[in-house]
Amino acid sequence: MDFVKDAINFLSYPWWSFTLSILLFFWMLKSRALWTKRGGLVALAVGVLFLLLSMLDPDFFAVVAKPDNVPIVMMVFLVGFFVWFAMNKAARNDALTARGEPTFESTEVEDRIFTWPDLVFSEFICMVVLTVALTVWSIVLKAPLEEPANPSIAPNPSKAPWYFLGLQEMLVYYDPWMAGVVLPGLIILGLMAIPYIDTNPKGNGYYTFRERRFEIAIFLFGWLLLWTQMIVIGTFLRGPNWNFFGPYEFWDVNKVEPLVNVDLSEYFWVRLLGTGLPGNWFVRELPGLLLVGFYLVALPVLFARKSRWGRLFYERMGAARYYVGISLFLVMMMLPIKMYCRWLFNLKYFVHIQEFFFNI
Amino acid sequence: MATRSTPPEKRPDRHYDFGGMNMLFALSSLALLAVTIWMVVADYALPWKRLQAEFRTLERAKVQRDMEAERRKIDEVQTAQLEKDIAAAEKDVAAQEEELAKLRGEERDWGHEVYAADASWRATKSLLDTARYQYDEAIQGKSEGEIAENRREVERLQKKLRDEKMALEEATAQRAAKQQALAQRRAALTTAQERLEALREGLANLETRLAALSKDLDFFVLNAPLMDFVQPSLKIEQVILPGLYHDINFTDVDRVDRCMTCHVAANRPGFEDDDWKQPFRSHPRLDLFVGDGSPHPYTRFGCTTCHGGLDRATEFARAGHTPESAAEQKEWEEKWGWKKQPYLETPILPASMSEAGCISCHAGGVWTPRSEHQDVGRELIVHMGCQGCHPIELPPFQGLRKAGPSLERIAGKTTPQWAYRWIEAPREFHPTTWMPHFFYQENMDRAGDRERQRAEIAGIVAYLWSKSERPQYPPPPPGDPAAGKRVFETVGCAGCHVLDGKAKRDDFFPTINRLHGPNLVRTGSKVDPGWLYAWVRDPKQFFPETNMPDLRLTDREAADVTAYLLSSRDPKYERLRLPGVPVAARDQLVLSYLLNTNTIERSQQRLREMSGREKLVFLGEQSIAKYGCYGCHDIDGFGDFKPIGTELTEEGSKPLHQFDFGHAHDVAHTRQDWLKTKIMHPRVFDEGKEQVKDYNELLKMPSYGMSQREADAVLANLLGFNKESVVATRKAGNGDGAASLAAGRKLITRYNCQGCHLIEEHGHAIKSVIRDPALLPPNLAAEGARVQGDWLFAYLHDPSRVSMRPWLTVRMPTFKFSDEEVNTVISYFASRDTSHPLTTAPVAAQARDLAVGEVVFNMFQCAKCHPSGPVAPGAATAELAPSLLLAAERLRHVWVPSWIEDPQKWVPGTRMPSFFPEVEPGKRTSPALLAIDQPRYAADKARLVAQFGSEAALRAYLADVPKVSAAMRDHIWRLAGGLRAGTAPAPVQEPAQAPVAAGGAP
Repeated sequence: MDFVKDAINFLSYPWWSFTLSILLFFWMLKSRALWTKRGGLVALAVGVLFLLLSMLDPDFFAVVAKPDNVPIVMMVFLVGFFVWFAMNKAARNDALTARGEPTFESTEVEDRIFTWPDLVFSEFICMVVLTVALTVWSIVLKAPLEEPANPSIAPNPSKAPWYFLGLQEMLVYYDPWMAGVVLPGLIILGLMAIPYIDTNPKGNGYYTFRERRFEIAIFLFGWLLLWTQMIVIGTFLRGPNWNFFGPYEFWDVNKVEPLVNVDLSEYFWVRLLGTGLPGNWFVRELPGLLLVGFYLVALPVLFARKSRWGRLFYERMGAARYYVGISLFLVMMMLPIKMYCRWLFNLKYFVHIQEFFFNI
Repeated sequence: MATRSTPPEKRPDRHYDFGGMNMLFALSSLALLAVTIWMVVADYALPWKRLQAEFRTLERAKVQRDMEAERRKIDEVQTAQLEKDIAAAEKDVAAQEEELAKLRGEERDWGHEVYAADASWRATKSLLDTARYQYDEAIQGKSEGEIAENRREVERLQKKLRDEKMALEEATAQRAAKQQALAQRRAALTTAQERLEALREGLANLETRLAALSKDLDFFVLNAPLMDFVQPSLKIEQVILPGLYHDINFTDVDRVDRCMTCHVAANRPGFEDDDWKQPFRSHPRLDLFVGDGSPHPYTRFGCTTCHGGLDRATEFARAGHTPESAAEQKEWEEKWGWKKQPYLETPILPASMSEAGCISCHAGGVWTPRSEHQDVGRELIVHMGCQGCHPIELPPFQGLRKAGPSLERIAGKTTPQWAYRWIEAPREFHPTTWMPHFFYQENMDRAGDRERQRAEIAGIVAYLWSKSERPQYPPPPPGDPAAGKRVFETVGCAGCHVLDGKAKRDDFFPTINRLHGPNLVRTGSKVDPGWLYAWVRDPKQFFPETNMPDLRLTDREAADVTAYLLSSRDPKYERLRLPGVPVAARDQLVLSYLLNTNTIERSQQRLREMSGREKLVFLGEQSIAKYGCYGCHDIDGFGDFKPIGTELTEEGSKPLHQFDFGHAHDVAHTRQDWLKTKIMHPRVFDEGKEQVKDYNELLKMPSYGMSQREADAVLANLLGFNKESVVATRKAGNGDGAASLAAGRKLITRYNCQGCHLIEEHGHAIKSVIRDPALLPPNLAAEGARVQGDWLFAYLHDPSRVSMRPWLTVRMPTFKFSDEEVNTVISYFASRDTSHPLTTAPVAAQARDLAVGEVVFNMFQCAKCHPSGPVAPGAATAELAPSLLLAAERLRHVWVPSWIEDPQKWVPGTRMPSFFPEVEPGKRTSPALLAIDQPRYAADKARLVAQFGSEAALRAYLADVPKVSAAMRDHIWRLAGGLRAGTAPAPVQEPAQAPVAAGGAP
């Protein structure tokens, strides 16, 4: 038992868990085994079983049963359900269209039903049932109101509201201006821009995956791996001092982690060239600036010119859509790239200009 | 029977099956109803309501029991008699019924008259007010005519008002007359009824209470859900406490205590015995706490001010209750759903630690009068010198001298061999010492640690001797140990010292005054004989800051005492050689210290350059800094070093997560358990960690070998060092003289006055040696009211100038107080006893008073106990009292009569008899009134009658206790020569039988 726990603890550490998540994600999209009813039920069963068995562990239970965290547990299952629901329908439609049959939405819309009583009545019942559920919840699980706060002693860990925990997790890898301002700003801008960038009319009014592979894959990558998973990590796996703890580990306030992160400039000048750091910040950070510049400016151009896929996108989307879209995509991908650089190379910053607090 | 309708088929225009939908709707609606009811119940059924209802039932039963008892108490015979009286009176009244009816009618008519007159008077008054207003307005801008008209109207109404007032008064008087007539005729009946009511008053009160407690329809309606907003009888009981703050959010918030919502009977007597379980018990000592007449009434101080806890909580699990034991915790978990409140920083203090709650308000007064173990805990802290390493920014711990003696001249006092052994294990030499064990503790028991510690001790000794002055003392003259023992036990040494190799500190708890100075056992193996002789003769010459006073020993006595103390020895400590210094350990430690401030190369070079002696002295210096020896001892070279320990000023508020429990898993995770474990076993939290830590990282708090009681007493202080803020005006002793009290108490503690004297009900520690209470140093109750400031000033400076009780062997020592210290003592006594200005004006007396005083003085045989000359050896000392010849110089003129009148009021337990028996509270009789008629006082009586002019006048005088007392005082003043020359009225005959007068004033 302890071996299993230790294994899960080990695998849940970010490098492993994130890598495994990426593999799982692409397998999910590829194999479609999960999108069948049986696949969904198996996934649900595995999830529930994992939760119930894990609850036997006191450390796991302490975190999961905290009244603040109960909704996040529900959220995990809900996100799973809705993704499955959409992908299940998409898979079925894809199968239908592959056989040359119409999608089931197109047959469904033939039927006309009345707002009253069909819609209103069922909505009303939903409302009543939801009220019952919320009332029971509020009676059984009291709101976690605590004693008068002492602001000179912040709770440890200090956590943002659950919906911001993804942002807080980003702060591990980027400075606040980046993780707290640029990235969230671009998330909102990007979401608003989707209708203007993605002009593919396929999938309008029906579920499909095959006809919108890139769009759905990119969206789900951001949504599931970079947002939902970050919230889950922030809620359940970040303990005192924002240190990482496996699901069955005790949240030890005194846990000490080595502080050995190093800037790119140091890699370049000290380790690669064997010289000291240049005194001029611009010279010192030139490698990092060039790298970031290449990534954000040159890469889109090269991609559009030199790669087959890039040319295809460029032609299909036109210059404006292409550049806006790929910039947003690249910025999004900066997060996993930085995460891997941190885990693999202890990289602190690509660009670290402490002279005026500009760090990437 | 109706035909069963066929189930509706799914209609093509319906998406859902409506039969099923309706069923679903019905079920969910029912669920909603059920859940709504559940919500109302859950919201309504609060635990405190159940408790209040339960208490109502219990109190009802108690009131019924009380009523039974009350009924039994009521005198049947008296009741029957009264009832008979009432019946008779009623018959009597009935006989006059006709007349009474007429009177009642008249009374009623006049009543109507009063009502009518009053109504019209009021109306007129209102009209007059309006008219006056209009008149006032008319003056501005109206014509002369109108003004005059307005004036006339005002005058008319004024007259009318007066007439009506007269009518009203007339009617009122008439009605009163009728009422009185009625009452007169019913007087007998009323009186009897009133007496019966008085007899049954207790019962009637209980009946009222019982009715209020009944669970009738009103109770249920008023407390029903949704009705209970009107005026429920089950309600939250809260008290708002301005000035007694909670420190939250960088701001102070008034406490709002709701504890009595469940602890319903806390402020009511009658719920003390064991039948009453919490939360229904009365608070103990309602005369001191919580009770309405106590110094800490609930309405002003609440509960959490002292006990801690979450003031606004109305649930057991949220109020911060602290279980005393694991068993209690388990019981609470089951019964009340108790659980730890990780975010509550001020849980309720454990019941045994409640006294810690006093400190927030009482620390300024230095003592907490009537506390059980807080004061002794505070003294323990001071003696153990906790404040030497741990700053405590509270008045009792400010401005103290260091707890241990100065080591700047140690070479003149003892030997390095002794010092080495002493530092190793002080309690082995002096089992009662306050000096703690720093070395060979459980966390310094790893390989090589013993050698390191030996090197450190050798270093400390080497450093001390390298810095010490070396005063030389000639050998003492030979003395007689047996005579020295007598001196030791009789002159007062034992107030501060014990000489006992087997005594333990804990044996003295809680009166630790005799541990004020060191245990003197084995002195002969410790000190230089010449030093000891010089020391007992004048301690201050060696160590000016010492608390040890000069007992004014003669050279002979000093030699004897020296011989006696030197006779106590222990050969084990005399054959000592300094053990060899473990060189490797020494060098390793020296290097580690060098590395703190030097490069590796430079350190190694320095190490090579230093001689063995230099290394040792260097290591000693570093070790003294490491262990903080200078916190308690003056050591040359450490004058400006900062204390090494954690500040304790707010230790009682330190968040739990800041306490490092280490691997000590059997210590409960509470503040008090950590602290108690720490003070009893200071190194225990290194358990397991010593494998990880470097030698100099190990915990170094020394072990005081504390007993449970000592630890609890210290803990009762530590837990009270908190950051709860209280406005100055709500603190104890914020009035006039509080500062004097605090300063005086601090001085009294410092010089251990209570080792010999009884002060504020504590002290007389010396009585374990001086067993005869008559030979004990005096109780200093009422000292401020009793003696003159000038006299006390002179006396404290030089106690040898006067001997009030020459038959005592114990001596008031010469402390060599500064003027400031003496004034501190004087203003302490003055503030404590709220006495009058410090000087007493010269006084005069009337001849008549003097004559009476003299007669009564002899009558009461005052001179029998108050001698005026030398006391014969072997006299019955239990009977003796201070010479009255000192009275005028020493005592306060205004105080003496009050003292004569009632000595017990001033000094409870005094042997001075009370001559004026108290016949009822506040009223005393004078036995002189009867005694004067005895034949033996016939001559006195005749003389006095002559002086008073009549016997009646004399008798009136003699019956007046204050006057007689004052007359005695005047007589005493004359004896003591305290009457101002020329004001003492002429001819006073020398009394024939006054033995005192013969002696004359000195």
